[in-house]
Amino acid sequence: MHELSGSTVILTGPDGIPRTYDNCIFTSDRITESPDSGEEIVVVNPVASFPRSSLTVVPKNGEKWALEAPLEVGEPDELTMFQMDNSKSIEGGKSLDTIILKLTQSKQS
Amino acid sequence: MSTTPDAIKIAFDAAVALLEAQADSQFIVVGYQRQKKAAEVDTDPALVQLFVKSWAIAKGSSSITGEKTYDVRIEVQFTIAQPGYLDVATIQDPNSTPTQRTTALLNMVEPAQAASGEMFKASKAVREIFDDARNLYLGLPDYSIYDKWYDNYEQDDLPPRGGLGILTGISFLEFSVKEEQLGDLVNYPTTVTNDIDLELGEEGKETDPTALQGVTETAP
Repeated sequence: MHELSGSTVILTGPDGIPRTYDNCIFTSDRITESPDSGEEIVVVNPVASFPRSSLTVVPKNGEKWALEAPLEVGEPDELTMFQMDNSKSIEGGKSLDTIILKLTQSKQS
Repeated sequence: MSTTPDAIKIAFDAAVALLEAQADSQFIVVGYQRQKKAAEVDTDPALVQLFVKSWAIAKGSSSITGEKTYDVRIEVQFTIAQPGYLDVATIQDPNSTPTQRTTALLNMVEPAQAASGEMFKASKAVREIFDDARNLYLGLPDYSIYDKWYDNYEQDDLPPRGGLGILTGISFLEFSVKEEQLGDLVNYPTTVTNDIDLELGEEGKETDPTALQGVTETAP
């Protein structure tokens, strides 16, 4: 699993205001299970976790959010754009104090 | 087309070449199974993989040597992997207003939606090529293949997680070809030539015992 702790990310929500946070835990899982065959397949699965109390505005299920995060260790200024996956709940972490954003890759439309 | 030992391969290569020639940027095609029903990077355009899934000979219908009829089944596998689409430039532009960014977020396209559109486009394009009457023989000489049939398509479920919207689907191209069966039998039966002129008497017995000398055996 690929993980960057304490990453500085920029979160933009429905109010259109980008906010920077430096305590995000950004992970990129790479293994999941195929729903058809049950075999392990490689899938990039980016996830950003925040302490709930650190967020000025807390995302809610169904809202549209964009997140910019560094993908490479040692390249904090190279930010990659992701968008929140609205088919996944933001809850589900082990702690109620943690917000978990499941992300998808994003390209210029 | 005269039957050859490579009729299946010739027909398969023709199917691949046909798709390559008429893809028109709607998909890319490879003539082998390059990857499982999964993707790590986005596909643009869709990936179409062709490979011989199976062939069969009807029991009791073919001789040991000579021409055999093969019923061939080619799997056509579609793989689409798409990210979401968003007006990234507006989101990242420090001069954008909150309203502009809000509008950009509202117009974002989800990966699954993007993948669904690409899959429909690619599967329809392949169907139109294979079902075109002009491609009845896959671009080969007339009657090179028989009973060409392309009539089904099935889409798989999305993987449960992932940063990309990944869709896969399969369809099958079926046809029959005649292929020359190589090989030679080790033993051939003796050829017997009968050149007997029997003169039978009243009791049905040969009267001339030398008449059997007309029987000869020819070595194989």
